[in-house]
Amino acid sequence: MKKVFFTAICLLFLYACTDKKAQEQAAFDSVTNVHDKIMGEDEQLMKNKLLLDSLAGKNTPAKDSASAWINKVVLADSAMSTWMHNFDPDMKGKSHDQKMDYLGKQKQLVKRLDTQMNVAVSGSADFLRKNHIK
Amino acid sequence: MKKIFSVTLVLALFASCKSNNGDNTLPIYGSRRPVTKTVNGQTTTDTVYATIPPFKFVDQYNDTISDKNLAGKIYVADFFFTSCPSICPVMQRNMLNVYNAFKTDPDIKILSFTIDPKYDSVKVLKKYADKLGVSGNTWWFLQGKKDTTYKLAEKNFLVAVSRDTTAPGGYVHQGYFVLVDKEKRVRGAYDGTQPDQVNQLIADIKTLKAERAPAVGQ
Repeated sequence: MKKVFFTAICLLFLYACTDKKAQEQAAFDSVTNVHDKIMGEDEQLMKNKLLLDSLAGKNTPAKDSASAWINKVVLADSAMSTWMHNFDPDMKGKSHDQKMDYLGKQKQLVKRLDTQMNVAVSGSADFLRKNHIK
Repeated sequence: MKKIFSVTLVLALFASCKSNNGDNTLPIYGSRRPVTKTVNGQTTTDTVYATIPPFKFVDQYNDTISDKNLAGKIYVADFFFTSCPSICPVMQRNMLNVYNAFKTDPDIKILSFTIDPKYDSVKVLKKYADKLGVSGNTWWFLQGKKDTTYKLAEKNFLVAVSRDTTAPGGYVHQGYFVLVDKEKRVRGAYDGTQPDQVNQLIADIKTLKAERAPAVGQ
């Protein structure tokens, strides 16, 4: 009886551990999925920046607006870069609750970056379209 | 899904190219144009293939690496950043297999371009290389202007990928390993997160090394 009880406790403990790991992995993936989406947007942002750089270098009425868009583009790109640099994927020394809390906060941060990136990509693309730059 | 689709298309193209040739010649990617010449009264038409244009970056030893350092070499290029939490650790673990297979071969190089030069300084790249156990001059971790790196990636290195997918954009951070021949032409693109494709890359490098006559484009 004692043996059965002991085995049941061990299995319960193992299940709880596996469940916690799965929760952490799911939370981690939800952060990195947004990050990977932003990386695709960043690529488009760099394409727009090259076109904006070219427009800002010309003596046209749109030159100043192009420079203003370059600043917004650089700001969005830089914010993403800073987040990536500060993000701690290993989370060494953190308990399960601390990891879940950390990943929850990182998800909020990275979602905000996604919004900033979307605004920079679509706004700069609209500006380039209006100035007939492809 | 997009990635699986494009990788499948690339693999399908490889398979068709190989069967069409009837030998182990790898395809040549990118644009091409016919050039007609007249030599000694004889008119001949040759095909000129797209090549990787000149570039200049700085490696983990703070040395300048340019296309001139790669003259007559076969090399593999990829795009990564040291703080990447998702695919890069897997990619670089797989690239280590390529490095270990060819680290004593002076004709083979590996170029990993960072897409986060703001934080991936020379010092950071050196630390990253050391952590991977990379030394010597087979594998260079390169740093340059971010927009220059993206332009080179999209317009030149990733032609095989961008040509074979229907979805626009988002190729640079998808973990491709690009194979370039001694004549600076793109000869293959492999999903660097998949060990079986990296094994295929290793096999294809050996095929390229053995290639003698100019390859026929597809």
